[in-house]
Amino acid sequence: MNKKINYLFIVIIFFTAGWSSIPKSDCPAEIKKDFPSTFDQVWEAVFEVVKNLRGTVIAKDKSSGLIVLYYNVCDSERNHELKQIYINVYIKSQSNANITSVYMFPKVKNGLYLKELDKYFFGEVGEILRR
Amino acid sequence: MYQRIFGVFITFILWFMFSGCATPVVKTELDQLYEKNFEGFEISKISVKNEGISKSFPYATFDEVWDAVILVFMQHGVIAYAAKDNGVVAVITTPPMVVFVEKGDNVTVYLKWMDKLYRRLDKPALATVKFDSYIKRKFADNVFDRLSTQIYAKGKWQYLYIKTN
Repeated sequence: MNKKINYLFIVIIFFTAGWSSIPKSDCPAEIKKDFPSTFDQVWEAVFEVVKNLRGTVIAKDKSSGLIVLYYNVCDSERNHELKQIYINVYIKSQSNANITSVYMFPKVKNGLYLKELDKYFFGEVGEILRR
Repeated sequence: MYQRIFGVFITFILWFMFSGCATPVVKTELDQLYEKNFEGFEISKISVKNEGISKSFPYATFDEVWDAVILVFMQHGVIAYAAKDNGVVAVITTPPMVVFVEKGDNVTVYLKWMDKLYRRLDKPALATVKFDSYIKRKFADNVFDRLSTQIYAKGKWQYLYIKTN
């Protein structure tokens, strides 16, 4: 009888452990990449990416390390509908070494832009910095 | 007789269909700002200080608070304006908000909602979206909580990071 009760407890523990999953957040994940370059080099590289994208800078503040840009993209999944993508870019130099971190958050007018732009964006910045 | 009734019926159906299709598009001040790419968008920090909700952050420098404001707010929406010299940031989110970071012994953050941007261009007395003061207070508490975490914990929980190789 006691053994049966013990097994029951073990089963209950397994069930409750399954429910305690990782908490979720409505705040988006931080998309960040470090570059072995100075702040100024990264700042200029981001502007070059904007130029390559034929984008427009809507806000910038060098003392904050902030560049906000927008550009149009043709959405192939939605009848080639033209979509305006906004990207908040935050550049922060690390004090310990010659490393600069770049954070980016893509948005559309009604919320987050969920497609993966980070690989393309960071790839372009990295390529410009390697030249 | 039947032809006449049928004709009236068809006319009514056609009128019903086309009036449904031609729904007038209501534009707001916010839509106008998007169209102009936020060009000429200015904010008075005095109004933010006088009309906004505030929270002080002791034991933190202005730079620490400012960096946290930028990092937290850029996750909320599109930053339409930022000037570290003035200590002002404007974020286009739901509802749009503007922040003034004031230097001092204790750095204070003032937050003001710009829900007036939802005013219709054709009828400025009407707004497309309205938020009551309880909802605004709840939003503000949420923003200040995130700011506190960013300032004092210097970041978020690890599972909220994506590292790109």
